[in-house]
Amino acid sequence: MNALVPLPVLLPLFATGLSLAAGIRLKRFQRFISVAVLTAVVVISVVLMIAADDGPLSVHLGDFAPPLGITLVADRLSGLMLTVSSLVTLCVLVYSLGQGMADKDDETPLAVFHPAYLILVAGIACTFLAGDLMNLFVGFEIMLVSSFVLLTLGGTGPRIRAGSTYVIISLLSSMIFLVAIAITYAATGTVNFAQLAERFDDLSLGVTTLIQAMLLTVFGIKAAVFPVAAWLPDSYPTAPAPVTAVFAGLLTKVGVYCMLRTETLLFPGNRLGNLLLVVALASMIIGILGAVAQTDLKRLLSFTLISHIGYMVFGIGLADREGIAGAIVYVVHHITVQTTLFLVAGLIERRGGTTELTRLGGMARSAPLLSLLFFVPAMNIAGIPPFSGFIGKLALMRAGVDNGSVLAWVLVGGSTLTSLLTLYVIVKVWNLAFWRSEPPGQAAEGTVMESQEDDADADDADDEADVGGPAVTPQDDQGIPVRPGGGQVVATSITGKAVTTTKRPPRTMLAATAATVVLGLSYTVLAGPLAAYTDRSAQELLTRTPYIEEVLRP
Amino acid sequence: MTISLALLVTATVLIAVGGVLLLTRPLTRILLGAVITSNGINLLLLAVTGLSGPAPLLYPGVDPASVTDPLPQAITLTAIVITLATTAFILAMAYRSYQLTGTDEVHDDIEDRRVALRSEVYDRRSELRSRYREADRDPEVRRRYRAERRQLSARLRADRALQARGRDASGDLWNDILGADPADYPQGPESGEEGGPETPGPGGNGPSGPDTGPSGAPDTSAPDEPAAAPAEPGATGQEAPESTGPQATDTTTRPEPPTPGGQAPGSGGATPSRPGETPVPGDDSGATATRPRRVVPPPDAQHPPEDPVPDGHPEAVRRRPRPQDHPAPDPHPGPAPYPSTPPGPESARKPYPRPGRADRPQPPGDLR
Repeated sequence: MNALVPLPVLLPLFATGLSLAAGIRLKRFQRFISVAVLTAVVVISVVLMIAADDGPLSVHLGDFAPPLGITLVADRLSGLMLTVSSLVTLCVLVYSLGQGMADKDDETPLAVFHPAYLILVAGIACTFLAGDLMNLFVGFEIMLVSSFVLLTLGGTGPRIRAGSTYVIISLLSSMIFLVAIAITYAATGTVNFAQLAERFDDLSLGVTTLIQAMLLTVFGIKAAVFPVAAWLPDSYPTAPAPVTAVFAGLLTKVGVYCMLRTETLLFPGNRLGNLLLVVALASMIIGILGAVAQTDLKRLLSFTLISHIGYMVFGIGLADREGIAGAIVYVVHHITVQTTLFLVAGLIERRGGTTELTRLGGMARSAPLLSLLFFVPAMNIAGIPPFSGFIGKLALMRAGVDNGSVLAWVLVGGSTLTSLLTLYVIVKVWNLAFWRSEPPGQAAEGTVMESQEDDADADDADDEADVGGPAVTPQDDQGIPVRPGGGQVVATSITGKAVTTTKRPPRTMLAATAATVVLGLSYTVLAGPLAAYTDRSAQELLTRTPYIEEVLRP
Repeated sequence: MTISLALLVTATVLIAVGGVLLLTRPLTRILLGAVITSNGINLLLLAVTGLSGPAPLLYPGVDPASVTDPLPQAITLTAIVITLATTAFILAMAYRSYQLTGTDEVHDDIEDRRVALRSEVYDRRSELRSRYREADRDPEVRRRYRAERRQLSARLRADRALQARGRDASGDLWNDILGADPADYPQGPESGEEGGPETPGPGGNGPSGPDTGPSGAPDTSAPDEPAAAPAEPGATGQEAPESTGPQATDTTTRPEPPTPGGQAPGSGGATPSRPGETPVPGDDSGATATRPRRVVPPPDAQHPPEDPVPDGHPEAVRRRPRPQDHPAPDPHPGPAPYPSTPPGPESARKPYPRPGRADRPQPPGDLR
């Protein structure tokens, strides 16, 4: 069973090699490899999650004992994270296959989408399974470099600009991480988590707090908490829709996972708890206020993402069993729901030609399935019972109330306010994009839009799309040509970067989005087992002995 | 463990130098900063090995405890390799950015720029207001005050329109954001309307519309079309005194319904962007049909036009000479897109429209 632990990292890497070798000629083979490998990773993750319920599984790569060797550890938290992330990445992969993104990549000599995506999955798995700081850093970097590639896919101007910002900020966080590793090694002589957990007790408080602060900064940059979150709305919305979905759903939660792991395992005693709580409150409020001010759907969702990261940091800051359990439940819920919302935003963009809310409208009548696919995760994230958002928020608030300190009460109030503001934001999106009647400038079916977001998106060859007719000049009822909403319509697809607005998106995309919605709904059905599992997981995290004993046993 | 002070000091100096470079704007300089900083950090990691020891020989046996610590060296190697990969990627991005915009500077987010511009404009406005209150209230001063206020508002509106277009721009930034150049349509103030950010929408080709699709093709097809991405308010601010561009913005973006959150995008596409064209019915700003056009008095000797983009402002990047400003003569001139003259023996073939101002084709007569 321990032999299964490295597989979530190895299989995607192996598949990347196969995918690159297949190249652009064997596109079907590439797609098959990607889907097959991700399905295998899902299965292995579920097995690991169930097996970890009896105790952590660990593997020393090359049979080198710590501190010299790399250790991969799968405990309950890792197993749960792996399962959720692999399920979500599988759904997003199917979505992007439906979008034909990988195939129509005529700008690049090689179809790099599949390899980059698989490396991203491998990096995420490596981070979740890492048993020491250096392997965590390597997993981060694998993830980051592939995310650089995915973010700047197509090399258009705005993507390069957004990519530059993202790359530089990530580089900065990696550098701070390296300095933290240097200090840790100098102080303790190891980077292995289990050994650090033992050796940190002997160090002076100043050194441990310094390392803790540096690591929290790094993971905070990655997770986009308030002071260091400005890069996220700057860079995420310009990426292609499924790429944004994966980033928003997973990359930030990797930062939260690392925070969870280091805070509980390396720095027990919760010395920086108050700081974390204040940062969480700031993220929650400022993030959602940022979302209130937006009119572009993707930017709005990015700000909502920042805001809800605050919830998870709230749970981490409490650092008691209920807080950690609540944080883990919220992480699981938020990965799914945020990804779903971004996938739906991609569908909206296909349907309406834009994600600008002031230009959309009337979709409840013209695209009822899409409206349903939006409505369910939107209510989920707003915290409406019986969805998992409500369950997560309830768990966190209960943990705050049981904690009882003044700051915890302030945070309970803040999280209620954030939840209400999230509901406001969701209702605003619903009203503007779906409920009101269509504004006159909206593009008709079949108009070809030249948009930057969906590069390489010409799905004229995609036989699953229902194209609603040839590109016509839209007219109002007097037959006078109406110039549609600005910047949207050209009659030709010149650079191949055109997307035809379709009456119905490709069935694969709809199916993938529906699958993520169903996954989010399943958390309601599985709420009991999920809550019990996360409770056991929190217990295991806080009493660090199972982990340490498993890794350090001779 | 004893750590070498020289390595520590060198590492600190390198990290500091690299950190300063990381705060600059050109991507190449940022890359240099990143490389220097990682060198410093690698030195730091190397310093953590402590004192050097004998080589790890098996025979004759060397005490393993006295051998140099190998683990930080492994960590350093990993860090070097990762930095190498990131350096290569950033270099590629810098070159691509240079291809697209003629410079490798990392521009601000449109949103951030809007906020910064707004605060700057409000500061200028309040300063103007206080100056106006102190000065004599003669009509001359009043006119000047109003003119400056109008220019500031125009600048804000231009930036809002840029925002709106930036959101749904096509791939060709030159056409989307700058629109057709007023110098290309030297027919006078009416046709000079196009200058400025009001030119719309549709794929941004000057005169393209749903009915002139194919003719709009060549303008946006050049993949290395210059895209002076975020410097538009600067560019349009420059052209404001000479064309009535901002007034087009003025007339057409006012009737937008106020949207929540205060971001009023130019619902530009539905608004008249052709010079002299009556706004089509059915768009949401029908009130523009009868709105008179206001004319800013052209600057004269006593009132030099204010320079909305001082040097050193990030928007001033537009002014730097770009390779696209001096285009090489096209070796394969294609047929002129429009007005489509039949290739007769007497009509010389116009060169393929290249991104230079003199080459821009005239819009067809019905759109003037």
